[in-house]
Amino acid sequence: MSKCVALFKSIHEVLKIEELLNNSGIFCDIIPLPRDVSKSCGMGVVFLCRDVEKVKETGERNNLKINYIYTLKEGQFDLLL
Amino acid sequence: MLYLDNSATSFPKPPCVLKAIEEYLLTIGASSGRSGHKPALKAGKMVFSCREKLARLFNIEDSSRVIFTSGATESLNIALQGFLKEGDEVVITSLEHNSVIRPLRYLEKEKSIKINILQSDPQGVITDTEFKNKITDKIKLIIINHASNVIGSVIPLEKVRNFKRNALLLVDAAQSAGIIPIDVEKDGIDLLAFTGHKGLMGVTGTGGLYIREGVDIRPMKFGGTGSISDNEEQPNFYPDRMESGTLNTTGLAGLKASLDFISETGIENILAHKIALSRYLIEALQSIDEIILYGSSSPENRLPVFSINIKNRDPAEIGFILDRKFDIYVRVGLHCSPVAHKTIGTFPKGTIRLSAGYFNTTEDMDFLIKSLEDIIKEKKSF
Repeated sequence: MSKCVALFKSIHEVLKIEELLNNSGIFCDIIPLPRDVSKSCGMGVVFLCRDVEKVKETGERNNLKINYIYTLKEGQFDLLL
Repeated sequence: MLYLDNSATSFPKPPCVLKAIEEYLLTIGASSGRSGHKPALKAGKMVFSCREKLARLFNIEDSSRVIFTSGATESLNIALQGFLKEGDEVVITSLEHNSVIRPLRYLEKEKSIKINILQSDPQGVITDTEFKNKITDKIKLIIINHASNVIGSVIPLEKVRNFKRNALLLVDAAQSAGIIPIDVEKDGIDLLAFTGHKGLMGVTGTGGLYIREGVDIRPMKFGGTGSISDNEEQPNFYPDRMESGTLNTTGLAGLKASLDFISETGIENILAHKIALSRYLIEALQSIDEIILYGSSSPENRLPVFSINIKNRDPAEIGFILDRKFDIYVRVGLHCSPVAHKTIGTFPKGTIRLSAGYFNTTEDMDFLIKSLEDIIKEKKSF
């Protein structure tokens, strides 16, 4: 199953969305990001791409701005949004 | 021994605080918000959870607006020095602690700010007329000592809110947080300064400041935050903007545990216990003719913090005997609040302050009263 990574400005927002997604039963994990991808706190939230709309919705509902979403395949990050 | 200096710092701490600190130091140890390894993430989650618990306690919608500091003094300094500009006018109460008075006196010299004082009566009550007359349209910031560290009186924040006009409200909750329910929305609070080691029952070196969204506060510290590390400018987002440098994760592990303890115990039960202790102690103190009790003699709307003196005896002498002979630990003198002592008429000699905590009992109060009676019967030792 393909994986996506969401980027936020702060580790606070990363931890907040991780908690919200976990509470909603949406699989996710926090991963460190390579420097050329990282735009802020150096960490991202990885999740299954099939949940991308749910992740965006959770972010919007809780005032957590997703700066970028990448797809992640075999260590390769490609900008999705 | 009997510890009655909870206004300085609460003692003992709930056992879960010690356990949480031990667990953090033994099994996590890492710094939060920096590296991406497992212990660092655990530390980050612990700090995040502590922030969320504080936000819930004070009804703060966005926990990122709670920033961690070393205590209420640092929080108040950030708020006052970071908000006030040249020539601004402020209102304070005549019960403030030096942690408000001293930064303001500094700003009076450095930035020509003007300080107006809401005069409290000796019982800790400020009249509506006083609020109405002193809080004019020119006032930028109102600073309220929520609960007095000298006489335990509490200022009703919902009342202050009615007189706010254009000003922002900064509440010094050093004594009240964790004991008296605080709701930043209901109470109209824009800035809330608190400490983690008094009513919140955590350890020293912890505290925080809530900054309402849209309120512009200049950071007091600039530096590493673990975010936008390629940028030489300070981040503009919270909490990173206000939290440069490594956080006191050890202390925050303890604070997180003490917040759980408060939530499980129920803040209303903590307050009820303290009112019961106040009622018991007031009655006992009033039954002794030689004791002068300052402030309100009502057990309601107050903390179990009492200033007393024994007629014709020096407070320092009484504090010394309580310590050496009875192992009762109190604080005598001016309690870093000369203005409050002027308000109650005990400046410059001060008082003997008895401040009870959640773990004190009525038996403790009996022991205190018996010891004071013994001292009254004794000759002066100074």
